[in-house]
Amino acid sequence: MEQYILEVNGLVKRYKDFSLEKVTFSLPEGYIMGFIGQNGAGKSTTIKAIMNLVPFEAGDIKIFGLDNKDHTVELRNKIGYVSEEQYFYEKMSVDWTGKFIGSFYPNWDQHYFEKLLNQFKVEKTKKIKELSKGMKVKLSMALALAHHPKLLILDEPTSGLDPVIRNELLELFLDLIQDEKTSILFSSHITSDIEKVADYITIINDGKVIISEDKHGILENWGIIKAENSYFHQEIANKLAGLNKGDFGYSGATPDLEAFEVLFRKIFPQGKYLVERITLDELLLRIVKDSEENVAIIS
Amino acid sequence: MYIVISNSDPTPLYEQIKKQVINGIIEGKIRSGYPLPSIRALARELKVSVITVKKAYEDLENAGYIITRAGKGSFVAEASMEFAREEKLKMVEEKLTEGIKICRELNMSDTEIKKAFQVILKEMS
Amino acid sequence: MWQLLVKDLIIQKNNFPQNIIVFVFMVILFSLSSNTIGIMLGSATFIFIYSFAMRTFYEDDKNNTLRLLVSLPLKKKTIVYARYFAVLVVSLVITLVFALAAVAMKSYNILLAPEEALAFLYSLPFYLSLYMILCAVFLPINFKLGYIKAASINRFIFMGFFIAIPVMLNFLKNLIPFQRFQNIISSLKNIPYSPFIIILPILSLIIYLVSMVISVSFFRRRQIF
Repeated sequence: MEQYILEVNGLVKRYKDFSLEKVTFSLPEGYIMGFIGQNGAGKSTTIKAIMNLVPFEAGDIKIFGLDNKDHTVELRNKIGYVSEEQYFYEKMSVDWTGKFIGSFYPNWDQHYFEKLLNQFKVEKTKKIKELSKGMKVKLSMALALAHHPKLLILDEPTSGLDPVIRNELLELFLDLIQDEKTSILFSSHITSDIEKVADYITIINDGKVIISEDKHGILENWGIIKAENSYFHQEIANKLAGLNKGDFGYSGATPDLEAFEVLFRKIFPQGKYLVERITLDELLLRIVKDSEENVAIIS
Repeated sequence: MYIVISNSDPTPLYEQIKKQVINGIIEGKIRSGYPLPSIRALARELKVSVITVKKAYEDLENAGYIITRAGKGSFVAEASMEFAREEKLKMVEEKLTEGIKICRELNMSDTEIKKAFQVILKEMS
Repeated sequence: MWQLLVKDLIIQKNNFPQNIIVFVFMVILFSLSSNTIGIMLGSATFIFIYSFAMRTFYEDDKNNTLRLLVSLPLKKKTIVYARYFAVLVVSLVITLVFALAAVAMKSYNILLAPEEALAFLYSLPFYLSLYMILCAVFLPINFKLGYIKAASINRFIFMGFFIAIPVMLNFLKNLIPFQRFQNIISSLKNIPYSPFIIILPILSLIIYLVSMVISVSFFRRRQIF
């Protein structure tokens, strides 16, 4: 029986022009979950709700089995959080910022913090306002890690970073989960980062969770189907996400390759179609396409 | 043991890992009782997700190549050599069939095929 | 909580010289219009307190650091408590500095005549109380609206306060027959000084604490993201 570190259950949050609708997913202990969606899909809002930074209308969030609203302070001691944008006292130094933020965490490890700064090549003596966006993200990472959190919640940590440091960060994530106790939730719109290191994937679109399962479940069961138009049938089209019909052929993503084979054979016993491996990027694109055209394949 | 994976290879990552472990066994690089790296350590090494390696190990275990002892890690199974041999024999069969198919396409008679085969055997001895 | 208080002080240490300049400017300005140097000095001390209190909010608004603070492992009310505490500490320190200055001026007979210095010294607890009450008004507005919106309202109150008091006194003078007004003033003068020096600060402290509770509820409901 796997233990869940983070359980988001039926989260509802309403804004004037946007709302999260019953967002539900859970992250088992010791794994990395990638949280994918377009900008504005609800990633940041969900993460802020998890951090108890924004109030929400319905649902509950449990972290380490505890309600996040009732145990905010206690939970934050065990969570490392990097927000989408970084907020610091601009005229203060990196060193001061570390000591200031560190003073709120009982298990702050100043030695480790300084080691991380070295590793990320962030100069201690620099003022915050002298740091580039990438440097600020790295400082935030160091700040988030220095109290040895058991859950890392990272909102777009890799955006704005160059590929080299992005790769370093991903390696760091893999280092961190070696103890089988640390879990990571990170959101990104760079799907290749998530495809590389994430064990579980949650895809959110327009405030709704479309898919949340382990990466292999997605990458094995889903596939891109390509076939000639002579093998086109509405019943088949209905089962394809992000259907793309051209002059000669059509393509689309199916959530269940086996079921698709059965359906296709039923209609075209002698028909031919091609199956391609799906990438998260392509999956996301197809899902977004459907939502824009108001077709829903996956319920 | 040395495992390399390629992101440009269309084979799924866990399949690549599986194949290489099996090859290691067949080639005798890893023998029964050999401890495999832990799932997390290998994931770290290959820079892939834990679940990818876990999936590969699970498949290897189900196929009888490795055994996993709780708290101790995964080891190459005693019978792994037999499985590997079987697997290899299957491969031999496949390759020979393939070769013979090509011969048939060239309208070679069975005698000619046997002759060609003997020539190769002689050359390689 | 201490870290927050110290942070508020450290971040503003560079503003101190700037405050002195404003203070000197105010003193000169007041000395042109008022003949009582003690009152003028007492009024000008508020520059420090007001500027400190407003600056703490200004810094958090400019850097958007309330977003940082509310994501730390601490309760929202702690942020409010720390701010109130910091303003109180600064007010007390400034009052103490001016008290020492008054004592020094009286003993060495510099800048002020001894009796003026004494009057100034005695007036300090009143000013402190007055400023605590003023801050009790300013701070909740800041906690509810944030610096940018609160600043204009506060400036209005701040200016209004210094204009309104003389206007109100004038108005009262006209409304109440002169004789009765004189009586009120003289009866006030007859009340011994010592109870006031205790009661007023305690009263203002209570108001300050009530204001803190109000700020906590404002801040708790405030949408920071």
